[in-house]
Amino acid sequence: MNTLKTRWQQQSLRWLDDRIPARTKHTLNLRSIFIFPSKFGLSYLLMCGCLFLLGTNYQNNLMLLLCYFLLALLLVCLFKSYLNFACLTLTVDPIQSVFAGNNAVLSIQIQAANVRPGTSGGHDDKFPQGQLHFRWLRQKSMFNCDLNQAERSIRLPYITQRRGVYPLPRVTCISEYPLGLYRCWTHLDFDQRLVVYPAPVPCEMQLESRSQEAGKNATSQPGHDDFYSLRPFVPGEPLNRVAWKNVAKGADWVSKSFSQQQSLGGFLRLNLSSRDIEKELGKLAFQVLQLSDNQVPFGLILGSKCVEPGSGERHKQTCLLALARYGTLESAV
Amino acid sequence: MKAGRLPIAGNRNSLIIALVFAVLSISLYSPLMLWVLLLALCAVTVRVALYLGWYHHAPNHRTVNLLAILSASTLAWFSSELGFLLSMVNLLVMACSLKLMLLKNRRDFLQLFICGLFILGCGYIFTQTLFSALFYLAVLVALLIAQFGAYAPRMPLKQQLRQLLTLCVQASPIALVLFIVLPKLPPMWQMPAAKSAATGLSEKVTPGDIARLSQSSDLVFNATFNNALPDMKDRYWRALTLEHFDGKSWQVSPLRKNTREKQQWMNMEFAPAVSGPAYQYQVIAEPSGQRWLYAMDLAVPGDSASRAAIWQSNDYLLIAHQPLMSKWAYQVNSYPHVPLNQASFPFDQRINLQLPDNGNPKTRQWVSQLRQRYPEDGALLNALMDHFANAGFRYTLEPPVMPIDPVDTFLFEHKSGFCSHYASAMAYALRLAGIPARMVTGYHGGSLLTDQVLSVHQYDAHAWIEAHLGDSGWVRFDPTSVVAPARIRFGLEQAINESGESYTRNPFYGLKQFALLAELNHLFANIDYLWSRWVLGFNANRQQDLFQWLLGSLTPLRLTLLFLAVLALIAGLLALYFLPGWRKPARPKHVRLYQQAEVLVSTHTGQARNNQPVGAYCAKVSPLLPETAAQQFKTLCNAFEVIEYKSSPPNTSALLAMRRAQKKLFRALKHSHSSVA
Repeated sequence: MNTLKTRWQQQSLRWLDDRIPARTKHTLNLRSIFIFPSKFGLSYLLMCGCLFLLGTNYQNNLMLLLCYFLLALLLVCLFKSYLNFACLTLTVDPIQSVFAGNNAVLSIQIQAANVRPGTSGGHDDKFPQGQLHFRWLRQKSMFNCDLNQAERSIRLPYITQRRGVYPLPRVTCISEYPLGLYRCWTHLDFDQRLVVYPAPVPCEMQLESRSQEAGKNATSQPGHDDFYSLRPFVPGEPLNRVAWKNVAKGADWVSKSFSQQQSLGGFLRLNLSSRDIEKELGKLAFQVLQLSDNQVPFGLILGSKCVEPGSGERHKQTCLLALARYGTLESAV
Repeated sequence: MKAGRLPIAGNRNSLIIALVFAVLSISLYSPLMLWVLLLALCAVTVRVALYLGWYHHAPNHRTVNLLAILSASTLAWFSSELGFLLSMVNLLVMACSLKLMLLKNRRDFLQLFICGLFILGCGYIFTQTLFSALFYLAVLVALLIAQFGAYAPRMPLKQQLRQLLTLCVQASPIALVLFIVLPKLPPMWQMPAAKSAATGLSEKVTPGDIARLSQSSDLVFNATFNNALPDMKDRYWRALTLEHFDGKSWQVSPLRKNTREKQQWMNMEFAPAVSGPAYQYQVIAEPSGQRWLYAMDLAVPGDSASRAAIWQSNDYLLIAHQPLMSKWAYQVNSYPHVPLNQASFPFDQRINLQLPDNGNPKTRQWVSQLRQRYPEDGALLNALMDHFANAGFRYTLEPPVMPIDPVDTFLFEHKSGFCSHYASAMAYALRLAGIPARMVTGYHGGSLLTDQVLSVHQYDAHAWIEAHLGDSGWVRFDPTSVVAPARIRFGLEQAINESGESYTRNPFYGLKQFALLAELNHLFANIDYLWSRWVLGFNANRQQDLFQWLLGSLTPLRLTLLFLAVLALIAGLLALYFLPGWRKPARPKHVRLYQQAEVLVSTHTGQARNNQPVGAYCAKVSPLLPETAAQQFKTLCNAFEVIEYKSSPPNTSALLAMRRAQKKLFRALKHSHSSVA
């Protein structure tokens, strides 16, 4: 039963890939929109049926007229619903990488497809109206965006659990404007790859020097980032030096100073013999962050893969990416 | 989202739906029981309090469930008294009020909306006037606004209303087309009828018990004649025959009823042969809750639709298969010269010679004396009519009560009464004399609404008798006509005037006091008539007439074409509404103003602009224009450039300047034209 369900899901995903290919900007059209009476719409139809029966049995023309009016409204709403939904254009900002356990946020901008950006007024009839509901495909929790607001964008959180590089699932976007009789929806793939870094695990610094690395006789050395003292914060200092714990307690702003801020650097090496590789990766992530904060140059050795020593924001990203990819299929790339 | 909680305080949509519900319940005050109405109003009060923030917690489930059990059992207690239909309406309103108290999430809201629509539809069971139709239309719009607001909560109310009304206006032509074209089906099954709806004539008449005839000015039916109208004195609208007399009351004979039911079961309908000239007319009957219909003798249904819905009874009545729960139109042909002698005489005789065993001794004695003097039936009838005409009888709407031996008391003591006293006495006397006779009740007369339309009201109710005279069959006699000739010749109003009774008690008082009021009354009656005839009375038969008029003859091919055309029409309407680019995109005002001026200038100078810049074109044509015109055109062009290129929000003063300049330019050019000419 379960396999049947997964097979069906895969099949439908493949069909969706064909029908609505991945793109960072989607303009909704006949190909990408699905429309069907909502549950409420169906019960509305049922009620119209009851009114018809009642009107016919009592030979009551006003009741029949009411019934036909409601049916005509149903018909008109079909088009209104569709057209309102079809003039949407959705674009995304590139998604930011996160550490495992944190929420990634996909930010979607909503525009009108056919209205020039300068001319669309706040309450333009041409602009799509009503509430839009967003959720990740096959997930329950729903996020709303009201198109009658000035802010026409939505931030969609994505819960991450494990490190790795994932293609983001499709985003389901739903509208039931104007009367909730129809449900217009679409499943959009915004072609985003989310990099989830291993969650940092606090640990001792284990930086191998270059020479020892060459001598293959590695022993761990005391770290070079020993915390030395706190001193008052001077405006202009890098914010990552601020002792946020103190600040959070309500104390004055103070900066951490370290005994050896300029180190020669070395290599971080993944301990392949450990049982819990994920924990080791977490430790490495912690160290990468620490070393980058302290602007210590370092390299990274992950089994057969090696990142040459360096420093700075880009280097940090490279290292973290390598950690995220370690052991996955993509690490070969 | 589906089970999304609605905010409680300040939720406009919940408030609107609550208010709509209040208005709906109040409009249904007559079918609703008082406590149900109170419950509904309580629920609305709870909602309003929550909306205003006086109170922050909706009543909890347990409270409302207890209340539900209590109300349901109360309603169950009353249900046998109320009848099925009213119980259901009460139940619906009760359930909605409880739901309204609990209204917490989107789902509750949607359920309320659906139920609201259904209650609104039920409202039409009880009233169908034009006014109530408009009223319920307004309620419908309010209900839809609440629903619309639930799906576009941040939209300003004004815009919501505009969007919704656009949708409604777009839907209405489609609804109308569907109403006209979709087949009008006959009722699928017998619906429960509201008990309280029965009005008008009753199946039992007890003249002696009535001290004052309560008469209302309610409309009973309108009859629209295709050809000439009958004379006032011939307008006897038969509704019921009362063939059983117990000494006091006349009522429908149980035997007759029984036989009719058996015949209906065996589908043996009475079909009198008719010939000669006929009155053809359509009757639009007001809802009476009864099954008998109104028609003049000898009436047969006028078309197939009416024939299908009407049963012809052996006592020449027309009886509808369904009780008249709403206005109903049927077509009748009446053949005034055809004698009523086609029903089985032995059966009629058996019923109509029935007499109570005792009572009214004086009448018995008097009739046996008369019979001895006039052994011939015709002579006896004449003698009786003469007696009513000459023995000092008086027509009054306020007769004294006659509880014991009413016929004796009436004939020999008070000698005053209204139609049913006379009919009762005469029919009884004839039966005593061995002539089969029965009382017929219905209406007499009717006032002209338009040249072809007769309106018959409750105060036109009348009773007369029929006697069976050999080969002529049943012959109508109306003793009232000799007592109060004005009643028959001119109607009840004249009869009351002649009898000198106080004017305040009669139904005409007030209406005719002022000419304007009378005029208005007549206008409303006319509107109501048109409404009944064209909207409420639009039945299968009228629909067929319409198709016939449209298509010539109703061949299957033509009908198919008609339905295809209707589908195309609806598709066309939808295309008109929704196809983009159908409507021209509205150009900004200043562009329009400039283009109008440009057309005028180019025709005047013969120089087309050909996509030149506005300024260059202006410089080019200026020498060719009269001086004032050139100046104005320049002003206009400058203002145009300011608006188009310089100011981002629309510059109203520049626009105003443009408009002024354009006007002056037009005037200048016109002036120069006329001077050239």
